[in-house]
Amino acid sequence: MTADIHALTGAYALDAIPEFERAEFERHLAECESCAQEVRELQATATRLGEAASDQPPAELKSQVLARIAEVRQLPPVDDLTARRERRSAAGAPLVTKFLGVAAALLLVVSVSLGVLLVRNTNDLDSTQQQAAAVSDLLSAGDARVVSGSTTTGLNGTVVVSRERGQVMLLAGNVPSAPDGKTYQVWLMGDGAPRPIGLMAPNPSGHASLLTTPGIGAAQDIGVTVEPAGGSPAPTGDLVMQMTLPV
Amino acid sequence: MAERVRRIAGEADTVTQAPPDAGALLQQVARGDEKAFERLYDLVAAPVFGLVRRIVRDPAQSEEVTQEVMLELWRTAARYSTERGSGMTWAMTLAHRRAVDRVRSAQSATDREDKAHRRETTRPFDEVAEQVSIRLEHEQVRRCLTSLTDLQRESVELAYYRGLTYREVSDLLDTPLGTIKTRLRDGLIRMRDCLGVAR
Repeated sequence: MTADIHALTGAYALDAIPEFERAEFERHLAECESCAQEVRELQATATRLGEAASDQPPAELKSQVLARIAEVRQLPPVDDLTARRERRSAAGAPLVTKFLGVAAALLLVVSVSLGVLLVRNTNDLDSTQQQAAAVSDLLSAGDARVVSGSTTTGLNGTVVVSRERGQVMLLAGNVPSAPDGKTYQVWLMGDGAPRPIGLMAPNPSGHASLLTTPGIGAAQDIGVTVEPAGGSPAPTGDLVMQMTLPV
Repeated sequence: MAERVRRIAGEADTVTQAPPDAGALLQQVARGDEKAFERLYDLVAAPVFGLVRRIVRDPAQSEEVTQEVMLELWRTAARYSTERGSGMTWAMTLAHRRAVDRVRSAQSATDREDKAHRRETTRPFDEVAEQVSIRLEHEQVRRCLTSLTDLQRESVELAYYRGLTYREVSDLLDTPLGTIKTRLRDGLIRMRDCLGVAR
């Protein structure tokens, strides 16, 4: 542990470190119990600063939130995936086969894509292991639907959607590098104005993927455009891929 | 903010109703208990909204972010464990992160425009920091903030209440990066000790 990285506990507890450093620092935290302890204390301290700013939200927000939870599926505990697998095995072949049937088609794509899986929800998904778990997790949603297709230009896309969870995962293959100074940006469409859900960069093998945070709403399509580096608030570039999301 | 503590005394089977604890409620919420979630909402909605509002500013967007945070608490309740700190800290850490994500993604769009137009004005951070201090409801927090050095206090406030990265704080205060990192940590440690946050 260098003194320099240790000094980041304060900035980390205040969310004052940029995304790329956050991931690095979190790897460090996983190995440094004294740092993790300090971070917990400083987060508790920051919480006091936050509570000092309390302000009642409008009353109608409560009924909106309470109505919405009926539509949001709760995540299982972290270690539940293993437990569930064991239960599946115990329950006998048919269920296992069914699950594998859905998943097997994707495993290849998933395994090559993991290296570049862009995950927006860094709270949950800090390591490759957790990313792998996120992929399996979405596939295990009761209403997970999978569609695949390819464009006339040769790009392949596979989309996993769970409407219950409000999440979409896009796995793309055969994607050329974006032109210099440009990036791929992914959008949800068909539900009002296109909403940006993240930037995507292919790895050297041309694979790219993206997992959204919950909240896809009633989006009908997922699309990928080429945008200036850093992305745009609304699509401006060529649409290189578009897929209809299963309902 | 929180529910009032109600103490019913006198009977042989005296019931002392403790104020609800966010951590205990989260554990009930993890089991799908919607009533517990409603109590959790009553407990954390005001701190969450107040913090989000402080960072995001725009009322409609602040409501949106607050709603996202509450739904995320519902969705991820099973991932909470007491080892990760108090339930309130869990909720407020999530709220802060979401509010910061919101302003930073908006920021990247504005930055591009700024570059085109050339930035002319500097941000009046003194004013912001002062407003923050003035509006702090909690006397103890305010008192502890004043026990920090000016640079510590400004750095902590700009990072936490404005959602700036330490690099941005460093730019704004015209102070080297390493110094800001250290001030953020030292400032929070001093706050922790002043507030008596459990270690």
